[in-house]
Amino acid sequence: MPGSGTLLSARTQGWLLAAVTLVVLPHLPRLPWWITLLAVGVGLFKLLLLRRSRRQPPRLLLALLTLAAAAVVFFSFGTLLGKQAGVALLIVMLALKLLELHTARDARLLVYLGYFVVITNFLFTQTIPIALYMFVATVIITAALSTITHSSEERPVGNHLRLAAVLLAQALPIMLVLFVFFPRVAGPLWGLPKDAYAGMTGLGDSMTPGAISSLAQSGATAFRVEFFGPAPEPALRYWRGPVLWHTDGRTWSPGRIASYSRKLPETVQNRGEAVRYAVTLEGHDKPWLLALDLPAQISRRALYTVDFQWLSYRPVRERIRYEATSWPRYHTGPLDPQLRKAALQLPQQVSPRVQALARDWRARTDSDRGVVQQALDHFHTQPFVYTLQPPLLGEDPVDDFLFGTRRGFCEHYAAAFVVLMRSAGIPARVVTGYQGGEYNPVGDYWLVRQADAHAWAEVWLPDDGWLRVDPTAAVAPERIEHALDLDLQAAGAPARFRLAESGLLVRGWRRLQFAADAVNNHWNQWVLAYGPQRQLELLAALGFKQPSWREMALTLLLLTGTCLLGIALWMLLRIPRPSDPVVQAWQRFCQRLERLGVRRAPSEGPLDLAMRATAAHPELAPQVRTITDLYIRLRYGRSLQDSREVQQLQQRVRHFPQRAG
Amino acid sequence: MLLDGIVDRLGDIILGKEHQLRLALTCLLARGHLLIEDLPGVGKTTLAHSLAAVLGLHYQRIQFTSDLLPADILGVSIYNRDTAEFQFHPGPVFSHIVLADEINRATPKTQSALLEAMEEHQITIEGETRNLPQPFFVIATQNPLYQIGTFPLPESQLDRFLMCIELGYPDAKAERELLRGADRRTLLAGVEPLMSTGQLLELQKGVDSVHAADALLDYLQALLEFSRQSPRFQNGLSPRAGLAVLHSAKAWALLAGRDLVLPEDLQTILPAVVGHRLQAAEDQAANLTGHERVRLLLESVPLP
Repeated sequence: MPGSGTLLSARTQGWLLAAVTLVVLPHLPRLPWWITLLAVGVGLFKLLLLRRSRRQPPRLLLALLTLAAAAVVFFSFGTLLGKQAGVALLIVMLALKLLELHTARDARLLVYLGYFVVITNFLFTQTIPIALYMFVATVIITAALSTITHSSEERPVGNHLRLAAVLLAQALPIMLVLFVFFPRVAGPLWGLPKDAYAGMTGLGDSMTPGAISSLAQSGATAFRVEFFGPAPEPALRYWRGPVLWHTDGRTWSPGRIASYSRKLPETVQNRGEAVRYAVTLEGHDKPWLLALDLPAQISRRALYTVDFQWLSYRPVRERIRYEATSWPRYHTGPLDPQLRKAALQLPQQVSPRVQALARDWRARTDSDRGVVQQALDHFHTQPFVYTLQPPLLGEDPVDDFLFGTRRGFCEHYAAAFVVLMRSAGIPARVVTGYQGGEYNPVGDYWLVRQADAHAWAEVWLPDDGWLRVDPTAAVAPERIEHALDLDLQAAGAPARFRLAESGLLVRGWRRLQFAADAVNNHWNQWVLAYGPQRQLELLAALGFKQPSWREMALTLLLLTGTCLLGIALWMLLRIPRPSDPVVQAWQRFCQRLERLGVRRAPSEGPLDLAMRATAAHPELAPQVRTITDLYIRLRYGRSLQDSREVQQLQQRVRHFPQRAG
Repeated sequence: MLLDGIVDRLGDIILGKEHQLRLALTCLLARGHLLIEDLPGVGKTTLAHSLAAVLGLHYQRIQFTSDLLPADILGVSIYNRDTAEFQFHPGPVFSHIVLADEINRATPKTQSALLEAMEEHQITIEGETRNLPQPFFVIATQNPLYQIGTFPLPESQLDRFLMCIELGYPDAKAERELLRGADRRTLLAGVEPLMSTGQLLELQKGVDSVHAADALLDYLQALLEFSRQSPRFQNGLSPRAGLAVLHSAKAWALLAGRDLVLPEDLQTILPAVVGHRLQAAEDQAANLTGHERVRLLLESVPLP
């Protein structure tokens, strides 16, 4: 390569550029704009260098650029470590290395960095499309590696790609063994950077007006549920999350109700059919394990709170799967005096209008149940509007909402309702969680999104114990039957719901979405959620009871060894096949002649062999002659191989008798 | 085919030796020189003579003796009194076909005079370079027995002969025909040339255009490589030997009427071309004949 100042061929450099571009591309939107600019600029500059085969930039300039880039990364992130800063630094270095390709060693370094960048992509997202994309990227990088190794030969592009694909295919069994048997540990093994869990969404541990309505505008998946029997009716599909006791008038928080046990208290009684199901919960960085109201049992080590909630010991940071049993109809029994006190707590200031309203209801009836009914009637008959974008509330949100704006989302209704109940002397609390879910007929499971986030109230009645009351249902009963339609929400307008569509196209589109989510669900369950729990289950199914680390490591070694041995044996025993189809056909012909008793000597030429064959089997003389002539012309002839003649040779050999007689 | 006719006609004169005749012709076509190692009386002279007669070439025979001098072969300048200057009288080497009979009887000095002429196709006497006629073909004979008082050609000189063959005794049928038939010399006298010198030179040029495919070159290289790697041989075959093999194989293919070289061509000429260049290693059976050594080589290298 005169003039380019490098030992690497332009072809190899082109491959490397393509590989680097592929692996860096998904990172670009996540990086600061100047890194994107730098990476694209360097890529284009490299392309220019390749086309014009100009001199590469001087080393001193590159060294200065590298230092400057590292410094800028440090100043813009405040660190060189961590997920964001680390990836940014890696990509800057990778891009600059493109300008310093002199020897095969540089190229190899670039390739290995490329493999590493492939892995870093999975720190951000682990979906199927990105996995497929990264597989393609890995093939291209491996092909680039192949061009470095075979730099002296001019091979066609497909040749390198095929080699890369074969190599990866050979790595597949080992990959599977490692995936299944490599000892899994709970939590991040290699100390993932602190910011790794940024951006997880989910229910918070407190509630202010607007908290849930902002969550409800996210289409992200909260969890998926498979019922082991028939699904409960929509009015019973309340997924219980954090229970909020304490309010200062605006914000609701769990308060100081900290009493845990390992199982359901015996005072709680089942009054109906138990429902069994499995939940695949997305990571949300909080300990709550969502379950159908009222959760009875769960298949994980977890704590049961006094307000009927299962809590994980550690925040749920990756997707987990657990099985649970719930009692949709229940009776919670008597109320502890201390809890009663907490359930009657009121903010410092409750406006006179609110107190008057509560007193009025209390005066009109003699039972708590009657008060609850009157409150629901109030929400139903007065002009309350259910909307995702309620107006801002003033100093006293409850008063302002009840007598002023009268527009609100579920949290407004739940909060106002609980304040009213407490003012009337009825123990009440706010429960947050999810309501409803969408059935996926393709995968036979229910998908619950963040948009299904909901807040409702619970009151304690002497006859019923804790009773779920949903004031939102009194205002907008459709909310309980249908999911919100995220595409149709206008500011301040009443919320629109997703109703059954009739259009063929719309239904087809829905069906496609279901199918995509079903595939995604399997990917989540079997690939991404394959953690310590699932590994133990699988190993137990294979006959390893309570495997220790040592046993698992041994199994891993044994299986990997077996895999490698198998591949080695296969390579050893495989008869080397000539790549030339002409030689292949000829060897086949020789094999057939051998069965006829004419065995070719190792160094015997075609004419000699044909002569012996003809002498031994005069009846085959014409065929032997044609095949030999074709072979001689194709293999020793002057002209280039004509594919028609090659086919003709193959065909003649195929028709040559296999056996005597 | 012209060449087939020539082989047939030669076969009429030299009975039962078609293979050797073809080898000799191949050697001539490949512009090489031929060494025949055999006992007296098996028809070496007749072979050389009939080749010349059939091809219409000028033929000279030099009987090498221990007192033969270089000038006896190359020629001398003699003072001419009439013109008052030296006049060159060309020696027997200035002919198309030269039979150097019993070359190992002459002194090395005389031998090398001929060998140099063979190599250069020209001679330099008294500062003047003279071209030898085209084509120029030397057939040297060497008696493998009765080595007393002889100067056997060293290995380096043997290398100058493209081929080394043996004639051997005729088989019973050929012998009977020989005994029955007319005198060979009478037969030779009646032979008409079948080819002009120009045609022969054309054919020699045609050898170069015979095609040797990559597959064949692979095979040849494998053979050369084996001869160099194997502990059975003292020295491997030289690049010159490789070129000689290829060129001979091309000439053989041309003689067989083909325009491409087959492995068989190579295998056929290999004993004649390589037998005298390949020495078995000392610890191996040193009494292997040249042909046996070549067979060893051929059997060791498989043909794909």
